[in-house]
Amino acid sequence: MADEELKAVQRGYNTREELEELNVLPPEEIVASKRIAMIECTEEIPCNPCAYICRVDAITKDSLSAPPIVDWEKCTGCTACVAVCPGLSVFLQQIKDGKGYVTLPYELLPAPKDGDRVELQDRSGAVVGEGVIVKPTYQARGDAYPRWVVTVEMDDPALSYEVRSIRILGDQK
Amino acid sequence: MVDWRIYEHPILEFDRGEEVTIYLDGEPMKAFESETVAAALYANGLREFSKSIKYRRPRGFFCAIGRCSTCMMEVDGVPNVRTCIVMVKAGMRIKRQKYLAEYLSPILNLMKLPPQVYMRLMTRPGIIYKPAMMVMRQLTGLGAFPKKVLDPPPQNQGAQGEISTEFLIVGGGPAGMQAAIEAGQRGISVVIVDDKDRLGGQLVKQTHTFFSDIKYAAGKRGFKLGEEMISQLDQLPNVRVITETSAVGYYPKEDIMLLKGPNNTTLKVNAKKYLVATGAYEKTLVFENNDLPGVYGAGGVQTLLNVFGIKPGNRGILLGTGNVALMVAYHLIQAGIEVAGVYAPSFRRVRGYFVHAAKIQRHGVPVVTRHTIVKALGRKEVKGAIMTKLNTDYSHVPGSQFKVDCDFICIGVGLNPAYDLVQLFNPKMVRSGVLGGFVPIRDKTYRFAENAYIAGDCGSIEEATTAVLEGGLAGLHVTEALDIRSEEISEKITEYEHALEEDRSSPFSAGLKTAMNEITVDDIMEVLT
Amino acid sequence: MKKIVCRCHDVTESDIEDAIDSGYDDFESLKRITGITTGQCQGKTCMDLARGILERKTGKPVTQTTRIRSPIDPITLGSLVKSTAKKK
Ligand SMILES: Cc1cc2nc3c(=O)[nH]c(=O)nc-3n(C[C@H](O)[C@H](O)[C@H](O)COP(=O)(O)OP(=O)(O)OC[C@H]3O[C@@H](n4cnc5c(N)ncnc54)[C@H](O)[C@@H]3O)c2cc1C
Ligand code: SF4
Ligand code: SF4
Ligand code: FES
Repeated sequence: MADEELKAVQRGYNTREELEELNVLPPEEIVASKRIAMIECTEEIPCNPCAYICRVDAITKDSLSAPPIVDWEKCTGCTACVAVCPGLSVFLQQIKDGKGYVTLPYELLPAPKDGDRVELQDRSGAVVGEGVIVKPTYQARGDAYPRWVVTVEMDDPALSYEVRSIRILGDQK
Repeated sequence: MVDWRIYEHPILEFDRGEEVTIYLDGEPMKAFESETVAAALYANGLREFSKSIKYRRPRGFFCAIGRCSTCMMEVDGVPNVRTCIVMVKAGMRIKRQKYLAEYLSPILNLMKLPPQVYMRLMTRPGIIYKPAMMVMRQLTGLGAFPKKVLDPPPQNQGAQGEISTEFLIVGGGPAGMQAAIEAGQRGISVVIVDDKDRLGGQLVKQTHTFFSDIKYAAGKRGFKLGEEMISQLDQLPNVRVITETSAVGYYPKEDIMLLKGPNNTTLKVNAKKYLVATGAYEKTLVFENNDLPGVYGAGGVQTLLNVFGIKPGNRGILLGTGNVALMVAYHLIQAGIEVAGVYAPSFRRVRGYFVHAAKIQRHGVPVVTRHTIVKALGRKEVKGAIMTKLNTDYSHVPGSQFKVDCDFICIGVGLNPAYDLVQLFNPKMVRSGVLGGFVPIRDKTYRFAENAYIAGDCGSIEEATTAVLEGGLAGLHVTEALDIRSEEISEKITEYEHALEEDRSSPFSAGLKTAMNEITVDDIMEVLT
Repeated sequence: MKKIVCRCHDVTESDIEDAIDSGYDDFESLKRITGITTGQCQGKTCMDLARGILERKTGKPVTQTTRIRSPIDPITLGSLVKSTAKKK
């Protein structure tokens, strides 16, 4: 249906290129060195839980409405911001031993289990591959109703720049 | 047996209470104590609740909050009960209102009577009025008069009589509750009324976490915020909460607000100050078959889904790309219901927050701008929808129509401030597109008439967080107007104003801020006289 | 196929357009001739839609609200009488 180029705000999601231009994605050497937060919250909206929750002050918002900026040096990859963000727009990324890892918030059924196989979806929802869940955690941050924070492992590290959602297929075995 | 209830949900647990049996036209059906009649019937698969008055079109529920009146049925012998706001009771007998006109409807249609005829024909002479109305009501399915005048049963008596109070708040949403908290904590005697069975307003159906400053509501789920406010109110003995009671009139001469409670009980309240915090009504759309059961308001779908835990259908589409439509799409995904797409005519951008649009698209639900609905398909209930692409002048692109399979269509195209009650105070109303519709001119203390104040969505369509802040401010200003003043109150007012300013600092609120300034005056009494 | 504007009285978009064409082109008279906003819901769904159609057809913005009277929600007369009686 897309016979003309849609801008991000008409499409309702960003492409990787757009995010790179906005300086939202961390540089490759950092992704290769540690688990790092990236925030795909690029619009001015009045919101600040991410900045509030980060214990090492790695996230700054110049005002309540300014888009958050992550200090990649400071971030320890603790996942607190993933669990608290109401926009579900914080992800962690890491490339390690030739594999890609993405940590994402998950609020659907079935509940994720260590070792579950998943379909990997990109920002548009398209399935781009398969992966495996490693150590999902159920976190409550400032709210009695917690959400899952799930890390998925994928064989192709390049995919970690694209994967933003999962569909759980079930047990590996 | 069909059961549309959701028993497994990633976030919510539905405490449905005890199972009871109700009867629809004599058929037993499974229901739960905590369900409204409409919800219970819907869970049992009933989609057609009544037939429309003139064309005998099937009508189901639409708004689920007691506004649209399409869910009326006969309950325990009382006709025209809005089943979406009446709770089930064991053994309740519900009847689809019988309509002899079923058979006559082709003839009535041929006659092309204007609808008033049904209502106003034969009002004279008086002698034949009653029998004539009996016949007309039977014909039109408006329900027979009850056989005898039903006295309110002794149990479940609503508040009755006449009372006086310092501060009467109408509407128990976030705005009304915060006003009650602020005024109540400072010793004002407060009465807060709401027409639902519980306080919370729109918050009760919001299961997602909120934006805004973490000091106020951010990161909390809407209904949790509501529960917290309710427990704060519980601590205040000078705040009286009256639920299942709606304010139906204000009589300026007598300075009396008329409230209607369960079983036709009435209560008259005289107050020194009034706060109208009645929220908003949902906007809807005109398209072919837009009244078919299966076409619902977004709030209605949210209520079914998040309050009662009932699936509206198996596969749906959403119309509108504002935050409400995007949120409802996400709630549907969470409940495991397929969403075929979110469609809206917007050209410039997805109207809601970008992060909301992004979170549903990554689950594979397309957000499609520059499209609109042409018609809903189906005879008795929705079977699909015909969509079309739009040109920039909003005309349909020829040949671009396509069919989407779905069994429900959810309209989330925005809200209109509920100004009925506001208007009874003879305010100066203005129309503002940005603020959602007609709103009263007010001053900086939220006063729009001599003794009446306004807060929340009924004064300007915004968000829960701003509703809380406005409500708090109105509560504090009323406290001051009742001659309770202190340093602490002025400080609190400054704090709230600052927070409101921050909340409205994003580019999304630029237009809103201008509009708010335009309708806020220094001296409200000058404007009114 | 019908496009319903007022659900209470089954008033369609074309009913309203016809009425406007026959000269009922302000909100009050439109309301009287079609019966919109006078049903059980008291205009909670149709008012805004009808206003939109009127504006589209006439090209004039509607800046006045229609008059609203107490009670804004149907209430049985009996219960009113009862509560007045109590007053004495
Ligand atoms: C589907 C949906 C999703 C939303 N999502 C968000 C979100 O993500 N974040 C956010 O910040 N905001 C959100 N909002 C907006 C937010 O819920 C509202 O702005 C807020 O609830 C407004 O509060 P209020 O107190 O003004 O009105 P409401 O919450 O609407 O409360 C008004 C109350 O008054 C009652 N009432 C009305 N008339 C009468 C009468 N005559 N007599 C007695 N009682 C009466 C009503 O039944 C209702 O309970 C959403 C709204 C909707 C509809
Ligand atoms: S992952 Fe932890 S350290 Fe890094 S930005 Fe988020 S909250 Fe801060
Ligand atoms: S909490 Fe999430 S939505 Fe809010 S500002 Fe931070 S990243 Fe954006
Ligand atoms: S009044 Fe019951 S569904 Fe609208």
